[in-house]
Amino acid sequence: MSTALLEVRGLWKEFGDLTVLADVSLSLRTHEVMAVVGPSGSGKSTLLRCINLLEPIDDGQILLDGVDISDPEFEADQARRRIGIVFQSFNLFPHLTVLDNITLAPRKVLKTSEEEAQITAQHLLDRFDLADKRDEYPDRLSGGQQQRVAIIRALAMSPALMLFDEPTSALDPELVGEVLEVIKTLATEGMTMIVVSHELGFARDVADAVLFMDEGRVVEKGPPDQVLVDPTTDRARRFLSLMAESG
Amino acid sequence: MTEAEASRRGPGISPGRARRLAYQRGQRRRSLLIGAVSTLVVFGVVTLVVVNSPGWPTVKESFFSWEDFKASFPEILTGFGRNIRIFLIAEVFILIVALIVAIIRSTRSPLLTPLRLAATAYVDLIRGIPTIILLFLLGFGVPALRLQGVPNSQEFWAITTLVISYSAYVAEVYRAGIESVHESQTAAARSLGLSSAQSMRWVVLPQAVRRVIPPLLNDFVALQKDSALLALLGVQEAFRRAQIYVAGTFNFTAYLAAALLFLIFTIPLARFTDYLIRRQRERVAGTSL
Ligand SMILES: Nc1ncnc2c1ncn2[C@@H]1O[C@H](COP(=O)(O)OP(=O)(O)OP(=O)(O)O)[C@@H](O)[C@H]1O
Ligand SMILES: [Mg+2]
Repeated sequence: MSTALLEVRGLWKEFGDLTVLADVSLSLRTHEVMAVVGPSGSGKSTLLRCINLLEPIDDGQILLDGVDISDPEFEADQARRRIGIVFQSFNLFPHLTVLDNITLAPRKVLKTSEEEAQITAQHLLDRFDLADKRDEYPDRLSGGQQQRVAIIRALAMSPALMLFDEPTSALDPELVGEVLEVIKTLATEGMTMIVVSHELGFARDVADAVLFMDEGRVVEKGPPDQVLVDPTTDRARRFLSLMAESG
Repeated sequence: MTEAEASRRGPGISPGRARRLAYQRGQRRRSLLIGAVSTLVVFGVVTLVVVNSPGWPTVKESFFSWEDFKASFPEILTGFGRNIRIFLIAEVFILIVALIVAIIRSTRSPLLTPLRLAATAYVDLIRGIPTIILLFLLGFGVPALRLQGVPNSQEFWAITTLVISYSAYVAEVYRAGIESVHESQTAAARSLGLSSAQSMRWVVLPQAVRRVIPPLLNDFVALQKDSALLALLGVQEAFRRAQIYVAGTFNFTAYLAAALLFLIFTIPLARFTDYLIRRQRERVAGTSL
């Protein structure tokens, strides 16, 4: 068998009559970074939510380390704690300080002692230049800072896999850089990631593979220099030229 | 805010700023004055009309007798202690029962469907029955059954009625709070591996409860007043004591004394609720979210 950390096989997802994911397959090895691009409504967010078991799937398999986590018999919470996800809208817990946002899941899910959870959180805050914000509430932070805290919150669970759903598209342009920088750092450190992003330059820089989706299907899959520069399908070519025009 | 701000800027208040400050101060003084005058006028007219009405001397005698006030007050005050005790006991149970009902109604787990149906039926049923009827059913009905091991005290059943009745309303207040927490919060919690119960406990409920504190306080005020309903079961609370006094003297001042006690308790609570609502609104306005 392969050494894939994550393998998605023939995934189908429907909302009522609407087929949102149709026979999607992908595979990701440890330390690999995959970028997912595609027009709005193509099912990118849904794909990430399915992988993280936030949405039940209608057919197919999702294997994490060879174990089918999408099996209805499988304890979903077990899988979720090993997969971190960062949302477009941060979704920090507004009633908790930065520190408590980060330590909540380690304490309640992994039963880490409060002291230990705080030490881990402090390390992460130091590393990503947010140490002075540890006692602030999220609404006192800039969007970029909030998103970096959201990334740290996911990292505090020591996930095997990180998912990013357009992590910078809710940010003012001048704040995009600091978040991309964090993701880049994670990539160089060998974190396995799937990143949905409209930042094509960034995708080319960090991704080992790019998935182009349209209408719930994987239209192209391959190294960034091929999919983002010289795509084989018309659909991808049109999308890329549109993206190039808009900036 | 304006003066403190100005002094923080140091000694150099620019002429423009000084003019603005003076203008704002004048505006504030003017609206205060208008408020005071209009209040005085309205109250003055009402007082004049009442005092000059043909029935006033009789009403004055039977509702505003200082003698009767003094005579009835100590008894009523002890009775009012009972109202407060009933209120406090009932409130604790209401907050707990209502929370459980609200959580049951808010979960989506198919396992809990029977419970959820029961909770919905409870809320619908209770909100449709006047509290006073419920009070009679439980307060006279259950003790009459003379069941083994079931308390017979009417105060017990009176408090139980208040708990059953108010929990249905308070559950709906809680539920509105729970539903107002965006589902992306639950998604974020679940994605970190928290179970659905843990997400509810640590992420949804703390936010929900904070949002519903003002409406909960409104229900507290109503509950405190409704503790007077217990007089109907013969519980010796303030209103019952007043009734007894009135029956003996045919002077109604005792009711006024009881009303005054309720007011002393509820008005500060109402002011506090308003303050919380205002503060919450300011906080929401102050954040970008
Ligand atoms: N909970 C839901 N119920 C019904 N339809 C949904 C739901 N979530 C997503 N959809 C639909 O599924 C399709 C794919 O949505 P999705 O959010 O995955 O797209 P996307 O590629 O992430 O788009 P975007 O770039 O705009 O974020 C859309 O047509 C959307 O309307
Ligand atoms: Mg999306």
